[in-house]
Order: sequence, then structure tokens, then C-alpha cells
Amino acid sequence: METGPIHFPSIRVALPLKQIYARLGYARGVTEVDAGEQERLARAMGDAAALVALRGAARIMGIAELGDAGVCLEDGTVFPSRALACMLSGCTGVLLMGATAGQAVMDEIAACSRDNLARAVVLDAVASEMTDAALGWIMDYAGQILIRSARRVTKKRFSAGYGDLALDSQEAMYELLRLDAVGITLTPSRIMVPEKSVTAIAGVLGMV
Amino acid sequence: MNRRQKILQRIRRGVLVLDGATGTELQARGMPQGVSPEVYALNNPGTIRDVHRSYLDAGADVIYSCTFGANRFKLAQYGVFDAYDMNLRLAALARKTCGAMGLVAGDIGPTGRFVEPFGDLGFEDAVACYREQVQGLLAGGVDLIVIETMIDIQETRAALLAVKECADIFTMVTMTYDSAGRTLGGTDPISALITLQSLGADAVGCNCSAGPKEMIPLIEQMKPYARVPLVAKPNAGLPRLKEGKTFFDMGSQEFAGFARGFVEAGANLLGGCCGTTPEHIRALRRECSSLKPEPPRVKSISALSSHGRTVLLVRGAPLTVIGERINPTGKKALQEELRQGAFSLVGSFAREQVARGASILDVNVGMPGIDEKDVLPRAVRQLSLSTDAPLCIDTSRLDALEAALRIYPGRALINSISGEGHVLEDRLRMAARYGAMFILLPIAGGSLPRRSVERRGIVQSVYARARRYGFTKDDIIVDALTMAVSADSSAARETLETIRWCSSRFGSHTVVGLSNVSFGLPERKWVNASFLAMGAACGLSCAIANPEVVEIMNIKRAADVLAGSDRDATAFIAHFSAAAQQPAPPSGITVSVGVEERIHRAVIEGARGGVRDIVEEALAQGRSARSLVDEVMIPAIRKVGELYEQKVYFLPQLIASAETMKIGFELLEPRLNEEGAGTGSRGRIILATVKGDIHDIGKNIVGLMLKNNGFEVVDLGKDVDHDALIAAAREHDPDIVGLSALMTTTMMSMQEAVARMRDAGIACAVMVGGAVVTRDFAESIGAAYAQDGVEAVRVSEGLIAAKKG
Repeated sequence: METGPIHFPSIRVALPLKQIYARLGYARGVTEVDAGEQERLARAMGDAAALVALRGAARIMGIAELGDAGVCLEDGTVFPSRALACMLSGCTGVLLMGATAGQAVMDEIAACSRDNLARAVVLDAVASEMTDAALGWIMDYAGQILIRSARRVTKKRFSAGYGDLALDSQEAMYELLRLDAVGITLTPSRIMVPEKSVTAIAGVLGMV
Repeated sequence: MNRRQKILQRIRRGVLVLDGATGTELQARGMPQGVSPEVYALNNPGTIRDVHRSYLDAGADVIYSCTFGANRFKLAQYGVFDAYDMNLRLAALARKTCGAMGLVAGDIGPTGRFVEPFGDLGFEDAVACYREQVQGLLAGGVDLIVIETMIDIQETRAALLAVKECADIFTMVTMTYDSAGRTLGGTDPISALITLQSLGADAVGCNCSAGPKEMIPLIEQMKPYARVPLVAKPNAGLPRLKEGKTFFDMGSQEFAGFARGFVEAGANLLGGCCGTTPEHIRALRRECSSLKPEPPRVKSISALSSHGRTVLLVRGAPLTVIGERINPTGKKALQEELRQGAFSLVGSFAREQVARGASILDVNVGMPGIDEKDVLPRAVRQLSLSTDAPLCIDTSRLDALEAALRIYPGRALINSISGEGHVLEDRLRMAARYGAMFILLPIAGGSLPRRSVERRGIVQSVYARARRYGFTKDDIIVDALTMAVSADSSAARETLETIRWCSSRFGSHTVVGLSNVSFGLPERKWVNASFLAMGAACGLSCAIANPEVVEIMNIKRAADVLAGSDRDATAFIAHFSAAAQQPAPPSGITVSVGVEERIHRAVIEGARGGVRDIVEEALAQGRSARSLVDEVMIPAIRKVGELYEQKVYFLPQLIASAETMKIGFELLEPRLNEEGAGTGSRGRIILATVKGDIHDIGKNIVGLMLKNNGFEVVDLGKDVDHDALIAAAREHDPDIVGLSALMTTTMMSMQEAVARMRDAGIACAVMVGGAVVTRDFAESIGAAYAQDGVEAVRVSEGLIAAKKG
């Protein structure tokens, strides 16, 4: 992971039910869901989980310079974001991550959007939250490796396209992680395909 | 007494103390970051000797060789390609340092790769990699092997098999668990224990990732099921950050203070992992000197495991269903898929059967036209990805059986081993090699024994042979042999007698292939279900059956209650209470309720399936389409909107209602035109996801809600550039343009879109929304804001009213 990207051909995560229900607007103690609806939801979530094929990539790189304007990595790659630099304060390195839910679930979402949008939104929520959970998995994986050299990963992570980290940075992430190896492509407008694909940056704290 | 027995004897006498962290000790002695600890140790032998000696002086009984990352994959990253030599030299160094003072454990860690089916490293490639390492360690003179810090059960199995295939040496295996109590591969401690101890690990446990407080519960979980001693090697607390450096926050006294808790939980071997030092081990040694660890509580256990679940077979527990559907006999579509090497139906059958209550899945791919030795392990790999139900591997071919057992990431059940002399020894040997349980089929001499007394004789004979391979009665499930009652009316009685004997006299679990009993009869489900109940009364443990047959599963649930295995009928009541909560379909039942009320309810309840019939009924009764839309359906969808805003409804319910409304409206639309009322569009709205953004599900929901509320919607789709937006606005002359974006960067595209529209003379109102869009942002670009589909309807009504006013 520190000499180049590592690719995860299959990431297994528990179905993040709480996050999925929250994404669908469920309010505990308020939203009323009868047994029939619960069963339909469970079935849709099970179908979605079966279609989601999580893959990912990770890489640890050293920080060459950290300033107000952004962060410069050991190979000269610059991420111009004040918010990112703030999050990385005190870090000696970065953990770059990427994950995707794969195309099969997106195809199913598109297919059932036409006549069963209710099911499509459930599939969409599952795919989104599982992809996010995959990033959490990668952070845990990196943490278990780094701890042996008295280092750890920051709790927070930052994604291109949010805050002040422009979507342009997605291109650098794509190249550094070689995301083509896990089935992700990048459009000219720097959107990743399949749609449920994300990249993120976390910090590495510890020994210099 | 051989070395293994000596080690076990030492463990029986007291806690065996393991060493502490090596990596951080090397760093403290000057090892720079980013180098291979193994290469550094070899180049600085004095340093590693000092680390080993420090732990020995502190009282450690066992020193780990500095070979954690000395496998070919990790070493290649540092330009080292002779893993055997590296392991030999580092093991020899540890051996020489230890002398007679302690035991040397050859340390094996993860390769950093993931093994199939969970990764791209072939299983045999993983075994070969570890074999190379093990051979070097053995040549270097280690006393035992430790496989540690493992996160992937399949990689762990590969390492353990490599050890077993090299030598008969004491091997302990520890995995790393996260705060949720599972490895990153999703394996829980009990499943890991069942899998690894049955595969031949001499001690099993956990290390790293957790401090002592977090690790004690893991040992507690494992102890009731452990046939082997348990190992715990926690970190020195949690890593904290101070002045840019990480330190572990637990001092030696506090660390050692947990020793008693570990021993009471069931640990037999204790040491330290990340952050621990010789001082931690010294303190641990002192604490352990007065502690007497508990030996394993069980000598054998009836349990099957997958990578993520364990199924225990316990007398007095509810009957276990083994799902039988993964079998190509009579299933053309499955046969075709298997011929093509596809496994999607295998995965579907697995999920469906588990959803219906199967705890274990029988997998059989035997059919003409395929190579079972190739297809069976591939099916097992697919199933390992599709389900966490343990598998029952069903084949008569020895080579296919071995191929499947070798790569199955758990403890499997073999279906089956009979008393046929020419295959019995081979199959017993194979079952023992991979630690599997097996179904004992009481058939011998080429014929099927009709009488129970004959079957019992074969059972005892096969069991006597199985004992030579180390099997106990807990490792077998006797197939009581089910024959068709249509051919022999005493067949069921003989089977039930066999079940009764196994359960009450012989002392083993039992299984029947349920559907065999009804072969040749009509309405087979009743015979099968009754046979199941009668078998349960005789003490039947398992049934190979189709869990999708409702009668069988309901009889099983009832039988569990009657047999007393479903205490207080808890599961039975829960199952049938849930079924009773299913809402009644809105059409055709409550005849006394008017048709308008039923349409209203259908929309509120999202009853897409029933609304068409009720609308047609209403039209047949002479209701006008206009009145149904204006007085029934639109008020209903507004009510749904209110429930959504109150959070009484959430998104799937909102959309189900909206889709129900849409179905009803589509049926009424032609009638509205006939009535001359027209569809009465309340306004025209163009919707688009902005340039650069491909997320559209939110936009689709808004479009649906707007249509349901009488608006005409022109949906341009996603990633719509400004020119296309302007062209569409010129063509359709909308009242409102609605834009959606999901990311902060594409949100800025909205600002450009509005500016370009105004420059082009498009003066209509703009409405924006999306996960990151805010009301303030909307106002700053001169647009209205709608948080969701319900608000979009309200905002659109307001904008159009303002335009008209």
C-alpha cells in the first residue's frame, strides 16, 4: 500500500441498515412501516446487496507540504483545498481510497426506475450506503496495517466534489489509485462510472 | 512424548506466556520507517537478538521469529526473492538466541492479498507461498508455528493447510477482529474457531486491533465451543496521538491487570501485540504465575461453519432444515447454466432458501455433460460469495469432493459417507483431512437395508472405522434412510425407528431426505410434512427439504413447539404474528366501503396492484374521470405528502403512493379527454440534472410527484449541457425550469445555467434542488428552492400562481 496502490477485488461489508433507513427518510418512533412493507423492503435490500459487487483501491503516500491552500504529496500531486488541508493537520501521510458498487446494481436501478421507482430508490440507497461502507472498510484495513508501525488513520475523510475540493482532483485520485483495475472509468467531465463510485482522502497520523 | 504433547502439557500446567510487539521494539532501537522489518533484522542481527532476549528475560515462554512479513509477496516489494532462505535464517537466529530458555514460534502473517473467492489470489498459490515460508521456518529449527493477525479466513486456511502438509507441528492461529467483533473479511470468532480447530489448529484465538478490555469478550464467546486452548495477544490499549506521534496508552501494570480476566474468560496462552514492551510481558508473567487456566470444556462439537456463520447442532434445539434446491435434477434452467459454467441460479436458490428458513444448503451439481471436479468447487466459490449459510457438499465423486472441501472457507458437511468398503476409507481420510462433518449413510454391500436393525449395524460398523480417524459421534449425522411408502408401507416406520435409536440409544444426530417418503404419491407435501412431524417426535435433528414449501416449514415450526425446542413458542408466535400483520388488499374485500374511499385508500397505502380494478369499477358505476382525479386522487396524494413531511411516511411509501396515483391517472387520462375536461395541466415544467452530474433518482421522484399533481413534465435527463437546456426551454416554453445537482462542484453549474438562460432571454422561473443545494444558494442565484418532491409541488404551485397573478 505504500509502494503503490493495492486493489481489493471483493470487499465484504455488513448491510448498513441504519444508514440505509436514514437515507430513505425513516424516523425512528415516527415512521410507520407495517410488516408487509418491511418484508418488501427487506427483499429489495437483499436483492440490492446481492447485485452490489464492492471493489476498491487504497494507497498510502507521504505529505511533502501542508499549507493553507492545500496539500502536496510526495510525488508532487497537489490537492488544492483549504478544508482538506485543515483535516490533514498533524498528518504525515494520506490514505487515498476509491470504491465502487459495480454496474449490475445500477442496471437494475435503471430498469426498475421505469415502472417501480419505489424499489429503485431502495436499491439506490443500498448501493450508496454500501459504497460508503466500503470506504470505511478500507480505512479499517489500513488502520490494521499501520498500527504495527505505531501509526493510525484519521477518523474523518474527504471526497472530491464536496466542500472546496474540486472535482478536477478526481482525475489525480483515479491515476494514483489506478481505478481502472477495479472497473471504474472516468468521463471527460471527471465523473466516475459506475455511478456509485467514490474516492476519498483520509490522513495518516503517527511516526515520521 | 512428542513436541506437540509437551507444549500441550505445559499449557495444562499454567498460562503459556508469549512475547510482545516486535515491530515497535525494532523502531525503538533505530529501525527507520518504511523498511522491511525482516530485511532490517537480517542486516542487524544484534538488534533482533536483543529484542528476543529482552522478552525471554522478561519471562516469555515463547518467542516469535521476526518473519511476520517474510512471504514472497511482501518480500518482493523490497526486492527480496528468496523467502525460504529469509525464513530459515531468521528462525535460526531466534533459535540460537533462545537456546533452552524458551520455545521459538515460526511467525506467519498475511500476504496482503485476498484469496479466492474473496480476492484474486488463487488458493493453491496462497498455499504454495506459505509452504515456502513454513519449510524455511522448519529448517531454521522452530518449535511451533503461529499464524497471526489474519483478517481473511480463506488465507488463514491456506496457511494452516500449508503447515499441516509440511509437518506435524503444534500450530496456533490468531485472527484480528474489529470493534464489531468480526474480521474485516466478515468472520466472527466462533466461526473462525470452528473452522480452524476442525482443520487442525492446536490453539486458536485473537491478536492485535484491540486492547485487553475489548479482547476478553472475544475469548468469552469462543470458550464454550473450543476443543483447543485459546490464545490472546492484545495491544497495549489504543493508539493516541501526542506531538505528532502515536503512542499506546496502556502501561505495563494496567495491561497485566487484565490477565485474570483473560484466564477467567478462558485464555490459555497470553502475550502482547502492538505497543507492548518487555515491561508489559514482565508484568504479565508476574500476574500469570498464580493463575490456573481452564482447559478446553469440550472434546468434540457438532457445528458447521461458513466464512461468516456457525450452525450448531444441539440436542433439544429446533429442527435444522438443509435446503435441497441446489440440485440440477429436473431443473432444465439450472442444468443449462451449469453446462455454461454460470452460477446465477445457484446464487438465487441459495438466497431464496435461506430467506425461507434453511440453515444449511445442500449443493449438488451432478449431471451428465459437466466435469463435476471442475464445476463443484466453482459452485462452492459462488455460494461462499452469495450466502453465509454453511454448505453440505453432495457428491459421489471423491476428486470433486476433495476439490470442494479444499476451497470451502468453513467447516463443511459431506453428503455422504456410506459403508461401501471400497470408498469408505478414502472418504473418511478426506473428511478427517479437511475437518468436515459427514452424513453417515447406512448402506453397505451394494444393497439398501430395508429394516432398521440392519441399518443400525452398518452405522456402528462405519462409526468404528471413523473413530480411527479421530471422529466422534458429534462429527456425524446419521441418515435414517427414507424410502417411498408407496413401494413399501413399512418404510416410514423403519426410518422412524432408526431415528429413535440414533437419538436415544446410539447418541448421534439424524437427518432424512424428506421428499423420498412420498415418491409416487399425489399431494406429496402432506405426506412430507406429516413425516417431518413424526420424525421430530422421534428426535430427528435435520431434514433435507425444500424450505419454500410453506406446509413443510409451518409443520416444522409447529413440531418445534410440540417438541419443546421452541421455548414458549416464541419463534412460532413471532412468525405467525408477522404474517397476520399483512394488510388486506384494498379491492374486493371491504364491499361495504364506497369505491371512492377504496381508491383513496389505495393511493394512501400505495397499493399499485389493486388500483386499476377499483378505478375501472368506479368508471363502470358512472363516476366521472374529472371527479375521481380532483375529488379523490389528488386529495389522497396530498395527504401522502403531509404524512411524508411529518415523517410518518418515508421515501419508499411516498413513491409507492405516487406510482399508484400514476397508474390510476393513466387509466383516467383518455376519459378526461373524452369528457372534454382535458387533462387540465396546471403548468409545464422542464426538469434536468445539470451538466457534469449523472445522479437522477431525486429528479425522477420530483417528476413523478409533479405529474401526479397535474403538472406537465418534460424530463431532459442527466448531465444536460446549457445549450440543450436553452434549446428545450425555447421549444417547450415552460412555466418553470427545475435543476438538480448532487455535488458541491456540479451545484455551481446551476449558477452558470441560470445566467446563460437569462442571457438567452429565457425569463421563466427556476427551481433548484439536490442533496447539497441549500435555500441560501438558491436565493443567491435567483432561483426557488425545493428540498424534495413534496415541496417541489408546493413551490411550483406558488410560482405559477405568482406568474398568473
